[in-house]
Amino acid sequence: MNLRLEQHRANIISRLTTAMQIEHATIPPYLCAMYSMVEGYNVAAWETIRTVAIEEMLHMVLVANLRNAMEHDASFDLTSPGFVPEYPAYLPESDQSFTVVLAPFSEKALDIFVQIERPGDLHTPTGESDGYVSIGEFYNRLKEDLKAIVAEHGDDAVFCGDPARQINAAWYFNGGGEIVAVTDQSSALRAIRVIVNQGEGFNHNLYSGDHEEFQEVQDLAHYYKFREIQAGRRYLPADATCGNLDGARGPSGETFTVDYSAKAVRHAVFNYNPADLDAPVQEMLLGFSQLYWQLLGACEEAFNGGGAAPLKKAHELMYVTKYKAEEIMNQPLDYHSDSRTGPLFLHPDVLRQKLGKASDG
Amino acid sequence: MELQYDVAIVGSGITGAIIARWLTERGHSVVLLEAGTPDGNSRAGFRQLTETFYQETAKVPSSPFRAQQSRDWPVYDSGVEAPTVLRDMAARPLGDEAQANAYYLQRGAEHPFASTYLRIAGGTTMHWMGTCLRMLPADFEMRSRYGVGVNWPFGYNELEPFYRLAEWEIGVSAERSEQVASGAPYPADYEYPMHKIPDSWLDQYLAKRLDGFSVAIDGQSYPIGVTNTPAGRNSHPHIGAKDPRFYAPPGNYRPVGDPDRPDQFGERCVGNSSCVPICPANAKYTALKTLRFALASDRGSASLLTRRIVTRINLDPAGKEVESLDYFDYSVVPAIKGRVRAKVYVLATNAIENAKLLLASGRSREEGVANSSGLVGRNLMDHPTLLTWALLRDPIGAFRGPGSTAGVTGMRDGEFRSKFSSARIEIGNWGWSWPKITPDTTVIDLVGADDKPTVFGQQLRQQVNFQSQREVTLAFEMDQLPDENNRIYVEEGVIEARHSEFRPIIDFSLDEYCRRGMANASKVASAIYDRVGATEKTEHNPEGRFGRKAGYFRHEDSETGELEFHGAGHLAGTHRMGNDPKSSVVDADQRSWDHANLYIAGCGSMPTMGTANPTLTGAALAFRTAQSIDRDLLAGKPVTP
Amino acid sequence: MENRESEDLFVSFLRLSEVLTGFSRPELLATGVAGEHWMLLKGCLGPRFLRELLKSSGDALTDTANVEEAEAGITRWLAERDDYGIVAKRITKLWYLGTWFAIPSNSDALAAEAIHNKEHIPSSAAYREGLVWKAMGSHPRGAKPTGFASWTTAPDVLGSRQEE
Repeated sequence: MNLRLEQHRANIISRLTTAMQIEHATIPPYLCAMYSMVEGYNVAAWETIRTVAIEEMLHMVLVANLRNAMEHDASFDLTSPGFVPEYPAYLPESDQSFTVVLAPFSEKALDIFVQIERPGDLHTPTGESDGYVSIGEFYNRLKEDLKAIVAEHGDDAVFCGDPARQINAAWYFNGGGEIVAVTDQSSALRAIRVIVNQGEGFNHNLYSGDHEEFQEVQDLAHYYKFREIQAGRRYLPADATCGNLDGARGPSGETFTVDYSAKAVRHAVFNYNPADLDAPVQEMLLGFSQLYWQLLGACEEAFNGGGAAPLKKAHELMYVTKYKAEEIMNQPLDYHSDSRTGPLFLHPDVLRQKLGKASDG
Repeated sequence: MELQYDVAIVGSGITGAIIARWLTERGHSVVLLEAGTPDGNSRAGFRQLTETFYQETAKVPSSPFRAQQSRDWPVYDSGVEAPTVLRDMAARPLGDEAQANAYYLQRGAEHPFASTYLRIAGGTTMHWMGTCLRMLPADFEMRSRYGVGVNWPFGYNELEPFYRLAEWEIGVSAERSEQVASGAPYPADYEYPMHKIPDSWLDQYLAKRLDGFSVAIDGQSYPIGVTNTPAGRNSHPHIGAKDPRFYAPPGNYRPVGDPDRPDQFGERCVGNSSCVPICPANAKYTALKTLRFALASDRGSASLLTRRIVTRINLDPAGKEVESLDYFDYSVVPAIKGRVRAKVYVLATNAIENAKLLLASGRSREEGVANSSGLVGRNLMDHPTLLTWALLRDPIGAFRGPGSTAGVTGMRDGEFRSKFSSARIEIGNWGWSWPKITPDTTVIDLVGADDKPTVFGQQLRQQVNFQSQREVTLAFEMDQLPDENNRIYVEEGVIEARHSEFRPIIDFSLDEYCRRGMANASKVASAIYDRVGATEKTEHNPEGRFGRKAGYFRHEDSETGELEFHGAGHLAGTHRMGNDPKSSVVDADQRSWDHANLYIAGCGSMPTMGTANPTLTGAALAFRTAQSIDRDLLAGKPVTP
Repeated sequence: MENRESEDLFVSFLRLSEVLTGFSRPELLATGVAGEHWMLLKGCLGPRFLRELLKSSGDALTDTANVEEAEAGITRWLAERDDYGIVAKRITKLWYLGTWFAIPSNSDALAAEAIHNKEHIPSSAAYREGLVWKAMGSHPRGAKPTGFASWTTAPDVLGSRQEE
């Protein structure tokens, strides 16, 4: 055994474990915004957030493929308490410059989304810790590490994983990009490129890079998608002026309606005490947690070499989970205001504790 | 105003779209004249159709489009409502010509022609199920094999390569390994672009119980089984399958989603359970998907002009070639008249409208354009459909998934076809929604009329569940032979006054061949239900049901002595193709025998019906025609002098 | 004062709806259309009749300890007045199908100006949230899809999966 290689490998695997947590941590905030949006209102915004959420799921798969390419019999853990942060929370190992919270579709939520997806070169480091400034920066460090390990040890030694564990591309659809099977340095760098470019933009441009990478219809990077919603206005290609990455000039294309009123958005609250709810609503909350953790479990099984069956299950659970969340968000917290009950992304065991119930193992 | 193009296509349904895409990819300039609106062609417009569907109390195949019939017609001239923005041309009771919303008329015939059609960009594919069965070899040779009907000008093998093109253009989900069992040969190296849409739990339930079952007809045994149905609906791509189209990008087939947002919606069927009338995800093929590529092509050019009703085909003075098309343009207020010229003209509306336009353009109404055979408008065929339904012993999860994912096979071909119609048997995944409009009527019946006791609460919830979980419908789509007396025609003065467009007049009835076939089908249905332990609930109602007029007749061969049939919307036969100008309207390329620069394309060219839903065959014919037009244009002929 | 009464009536409407539909209050609220249905009912029924209807059904449900007792109470209540049955049936169908069926024009229950008292689906949400689909163990046609290939597995009938 080459100790130096294995140490180097362990270091990268550890980063990929963090990457999985980061990618997932962005999803519940996006989901909460989508769940809160009443069907028929904010259609353009809803469709936009949906593509981002779906592409974040793609990123989880790409991270799984990276790790499975470099590690034989990798054991992913997505279901233990701790994998999902208890919101409000910092993005794992970030510079802690902002807090991610769960919120209904709102200006506040969009502010956070923009922070999550902000390109590194638009960031002024303000955080306390020495963590990454942007997700892109996190992946750039990973990319350098990867290049270094391959330069020293060669493709064959580094990419020793089981190719059968690469996730079946058929089950990714309705979002930009494709699942990239990782087998060597070039495909590994491509997977990272897809993640970074979909989030922050490609080549100092507004667009995601899927057009060049996969010959798809040109689509904005996540950061700019959220900027569009903030402005209620589409970007035009001409808005991508060089040296003006933040679009100081802003989107100047056609406008679309953004409506944060109680008619269009379920004003869900997330900082209530679940034990105060009526018993049947407590059961619904618990039901949601169980479904969401079944979904994470199905992803975990697929990443751990489970084949197509858990992917089909995960796909179906995404729908069931959505409908359950909307049912919870339709429960009034009281009859005197527009406040609704937010689904808490708490591990079932943790939620049971908060509800004063015994864990049923 | 006069416009000029290489090719002018009337209609933007699947036939027009396929021809337009093929020719633009070959560098030609094409115009499509569409009588309806482009409503489904944007994400927002498509969503509006879905919203309309939600809010229509009767969720019939035209429900997404209905509101435009009554409420949203643009005012085009001094406050008068515009003509067909898009119209549900519903079948009306016989003789009832005064119905405000009726479009075509029926008189004289014994049975109602029970089908409707749409006028909208994308055509009938906007509300089709997406069934993509190939016809069987025998279907092309009914005269020589069974002594009935007529032969096609070519056999299955000659059309087979075009089936492949059509399957890849539509994006058909199926397994070649399962479909070869139908008896239609496929090349050994061919595979469909996508894996099959998986069988529903109901399909699996029936397959298990029908294993080893057969029915005897005239001493011959016909094995009955369950086979997955090829569907124009997105599934997972077949890795490594080779695209037969010359313009295909390299690599595996990429499912085509929403025409407006192709990478974001509709790349897979996600089980909305509403293929008819509308797939909210846009996972189902519509001709707009093909049109999108034609309109975006940078090799040639395609223009889609909507709200243009072609009213007349003008011939040159000698009557040899088509010189121009006149159209009525209500895309502007007030509406204007326009004219388009091209080297080649294609009629690609549907079997009724193609024939109507030809007949309306003649010097006399009887004569018509392209009608030296006298056959334009004659031999109108549909798939008269016998609905049967039953309650199963076990809950099978009805009302989930696409409307149908498999069929009961065994009655599509056999010696019996010399005596009576064959049938394709569709397994309905949506309970009794077609024959009985469940679950609505289930709830309405349980809750009860005002003077009846009511079922409510836990009982209601449980009984709704019990009933709905067990419903099954088998629809028998019957082969119908060509009959010259089944026809569409026009008459002086019978016009849609708002835009001087002739109304089609239809005569229609079922012959004894089809009646006997339907009687046989009713017995096969009963035998199947018996075998699977279901309780049959089929009723035949002379009045039709829920305001829909059905065909009704008595036949001694049927179980109960009476039968009722519905329309399938499969319009065919009115400009039949053949090898002889005396007995056909178009040749094997769908070119008019009478006018060299006129193609009359679509299912109207089919000489016989068979039992496959006709759209795939129409699409295959469109590819053949597109290649013929391309040859014409490259050869520099035919050019109007 | 008026707000308070209106709120109480809404709660009574939900209670009556629970017994008529066989769905619990959280299940009814989960649809998100409870308020919409309530507004439609208020628009179609005369205010005095509506108060009587909910007062009397509330009385019939007082001190009922379980579903069986509540349903028995409502059965007796339905026999009290023909109008109660006519309206109750329309409330049930509204919840199940999302369709409002017109109350006969000669009924005393009708509001003076019941402009929405015709057969119609008041909103897309009313259709999508129809309880019939939940009762069936399915989903509304054209909405709330269940995912690719979800139709291939045995139905989840009343909590127990069927073996095949």
